[in-house]
Amino acid sequence: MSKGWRIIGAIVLVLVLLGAICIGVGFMTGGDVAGIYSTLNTRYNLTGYWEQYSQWAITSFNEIVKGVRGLW
Amino acid sequence: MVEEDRQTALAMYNRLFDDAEDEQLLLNLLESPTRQAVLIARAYDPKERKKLAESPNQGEEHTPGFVLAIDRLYQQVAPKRPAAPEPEPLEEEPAPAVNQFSLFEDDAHPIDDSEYVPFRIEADAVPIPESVEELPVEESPARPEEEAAPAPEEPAREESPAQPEEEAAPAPEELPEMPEEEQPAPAEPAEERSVPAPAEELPLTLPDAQESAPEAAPVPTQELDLDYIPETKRKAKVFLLILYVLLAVPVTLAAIVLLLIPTVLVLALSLLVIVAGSAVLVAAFSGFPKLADILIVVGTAVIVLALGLLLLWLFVWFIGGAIGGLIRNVLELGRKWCYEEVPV
Repeated sequence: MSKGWRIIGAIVLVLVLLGAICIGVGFMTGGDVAGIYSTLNTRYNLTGYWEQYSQWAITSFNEIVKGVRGLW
Repeated sequence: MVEEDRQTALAMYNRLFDDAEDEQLLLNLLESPTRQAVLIARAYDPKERKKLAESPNQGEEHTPGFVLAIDRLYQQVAPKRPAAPEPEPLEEEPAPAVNQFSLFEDDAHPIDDSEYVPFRIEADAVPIPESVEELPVEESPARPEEEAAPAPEEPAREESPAQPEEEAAPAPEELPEMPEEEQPAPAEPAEERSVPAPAEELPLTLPDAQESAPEAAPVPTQELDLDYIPETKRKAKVFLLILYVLLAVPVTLAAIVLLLIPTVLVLALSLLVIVAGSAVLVAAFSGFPKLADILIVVGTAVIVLALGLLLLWLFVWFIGGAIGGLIRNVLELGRKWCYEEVPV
């Protein structure tokens, strides 16, 4: 099991380093976070999904609170 | 009879036949298998053997009776005989051969005391007959042993078949009175003497034996060694085992359920992270106009996937390491507490 931890840790470390290098190179070559968000929002409607999940979370929380109060 | 002792007796009989100079004489001495079985049975003391098994250190000082009984036969028929104690220096008595083979000397075959408890057979326990022709064929040498208690050496020595020969064999001082052709030992050269014996007891000559085995053949002395490490088996403490099972099973099940909750959560989280990372990676190549933006998204996707991989391995560790280790440790603790090693 400890050997597995070492192998997985090495793979994760390599991937994280690779991702960090990619992000660093992207920012150094003129990457823009706002432009990325805008593109993703246009293509995948991220704002719509966020509103839906927010509404679902609020509704679920209110139902739970109502159920707990009903118990008392 | 203990299996080890049976094997020892068989090995000694095998060597007896291997080393016997005159096989017919040996057969006459043995008489019959039944007689030998009775001989061994009478010389064998189970209580003594059990005592030896319980306290192995006594084996260094005591030789079992059946070993002595078989060794007496060996002394009579084997050409290679164990060396007797150092004889008194005599003018007429030549020194024993240098390459004299000794079956039981420690120097000849050093024994590792850490593993074996050897039986030390006294070389002068039984006087050695002068020649094979003078051995009594009708009367077995172990007959006194059958009547006496197991392993008393003194009666056996007194009534040994070699005793008449001791009387018949003249002392070295008397030899010059005999005719020249009848003098046995002093007339023989040192190379032809096979057994160095005390001069006042026996002037021995066994030229045939020495010629047949000019050099001492290595005989494995471990055949005589008995390993007194007692065999053990595991025996359950029944009451403690039942109590342990009654307590351990519910506690272990509760612990497994508690461990399953984070395990399932970690699995769900890892799957969610891996799916998200894959989606980000796919999105990176679907519509970004600038390479810099693609690099940022790809880098983010790789980091998220790495996190997902780490969470997935955490799930595997929960299953195999935490839950499996808990079960193994509970079983090991049960073995340790509820079982004991008892001698067979």
